[in-house]
Amino acid sequence: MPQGIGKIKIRLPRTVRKGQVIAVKTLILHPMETGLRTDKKTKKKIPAYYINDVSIYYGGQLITHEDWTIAVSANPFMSFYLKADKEAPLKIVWKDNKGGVYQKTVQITPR
Amino acid sequence: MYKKISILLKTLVLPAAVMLVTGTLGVGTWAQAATQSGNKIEKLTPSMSYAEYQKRYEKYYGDFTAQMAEEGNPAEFLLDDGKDLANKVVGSKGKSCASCHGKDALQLKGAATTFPKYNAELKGIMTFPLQINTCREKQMGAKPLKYESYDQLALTMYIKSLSNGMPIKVSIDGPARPFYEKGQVAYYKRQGQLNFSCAICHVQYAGYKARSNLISNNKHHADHWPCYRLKWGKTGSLQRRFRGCLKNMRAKKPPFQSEELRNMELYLTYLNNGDLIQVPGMRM
Amino acid sequence: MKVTDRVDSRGNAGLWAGVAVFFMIAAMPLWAHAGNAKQGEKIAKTRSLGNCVACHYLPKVESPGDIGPNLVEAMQEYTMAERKDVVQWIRDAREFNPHTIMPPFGTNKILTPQQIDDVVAYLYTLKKK
Repeated sequence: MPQGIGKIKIRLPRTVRKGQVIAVKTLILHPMETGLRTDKKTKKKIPAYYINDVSIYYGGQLITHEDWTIAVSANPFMSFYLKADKEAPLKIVWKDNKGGVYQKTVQITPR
Repeated sequence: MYKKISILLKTLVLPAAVMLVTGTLGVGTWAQAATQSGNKIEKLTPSMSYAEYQKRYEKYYGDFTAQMAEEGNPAEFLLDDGKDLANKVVGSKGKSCASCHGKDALQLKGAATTFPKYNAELKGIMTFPLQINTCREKQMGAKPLKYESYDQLALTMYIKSLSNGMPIKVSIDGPARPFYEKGQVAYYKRQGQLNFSCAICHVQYAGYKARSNLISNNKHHADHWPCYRLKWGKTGSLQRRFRGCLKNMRAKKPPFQSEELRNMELYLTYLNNGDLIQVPGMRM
Repeated sequence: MKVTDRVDSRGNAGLWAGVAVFFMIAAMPLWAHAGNAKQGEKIAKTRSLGNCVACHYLPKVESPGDIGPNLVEAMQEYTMAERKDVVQWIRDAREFNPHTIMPPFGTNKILTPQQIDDVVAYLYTLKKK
């Protein structure tokens, strides 16, 4: 199994004003195996291993939920827009089909 | 005019190919130029100016490179692991990189700019990954890291990234000279079932399309390794890229850090002298 | 009577068939080089075989390369008599230009002589008469 799975990077604008719509950019390290590829040496199918569930919480409240499939690329990049109207933590949770859960929390403090 | 050029070729110390790449020679005719040691190299002329190449590149890949810059580089995740590895004590002598080179190995800032360089003990060219492994074996009494493994790439990338923003200044004077020439001969040698050389694509036909890929110019080819390559979906070194290209030429692939690949790395890095190091890079 | 008629006509038919076969055998060297154009098109556009489209323009291909000349334009200049030149370009182009980038398909055994013939047959179908 490759090392470094589930490392997460979340990027926010440097300064956030209250009520501003900000772009949140996230990157997670994951192989996203489709289950359709064959190993060249052993000639066996590489089992599917991909993120299929992403949830985003803002201040403890679920704001959006995504279902991902095998069509998403390796090391997926995701960006979304968020109205920063309160000082609260932003928690993003990725879950894969083998039971792995990866999460990261960043604090959003609008001025 | 041509006579003058041929007299120049015989007298000049610098091999003709370097001048071709830097564009000091004008339109050339088909001929063979010789290195100091007498090996013949094929004389190739770039089909277009570098400005024209850049224009084509921007037109063909411009949106895509902008998108890559926005999404960020997955190889940056390895930097933190590399930092941990530099501070980790391994081997029989109870040392880490940090015990000699300061906290987080910060004293190695700028070390990567002069690599690859001649090493008297090796009687050959020392590349940066090989230097790290040699150091681990001799000074720390630790096992060498397997090439292209996660730890090896992370450590190389971290220590090299300390030199970010500094220009490459590789020297080919003195004992390094014959190895530079060997690298040049290898770069210009026709090989494989398809009978290609590195130079025919990346010097002469740079800027044209091979199917849907724009062939890249050999400027800025050696300043950002190890890098994340989208085709691999992971991080790899310059020598892995060399081997990939050799495989596409249907030629023999020398093993990692073999003499051929090290000489070729010296030649290519010398061509990129003056470019700023930017590790980790990201390629298509 | 009728029976002999039949025998006569049969004899004639045999004679004509024999003449036809004789001419076909005489024309054999021309026939043998014909190649299968349909097979040739497949070879020219398959990555593991000819992969001509990596460098040359060919019709009905998505994003062909532009290193080599456009083959539709280039083929207009070749007559049927110059067929062996076209074959030689594919077999080993170093005969025409020692510094060419084109792989020697015949010399390095990337394609068999039969496959090269097929490709040339396909190339001649691009020629507008």
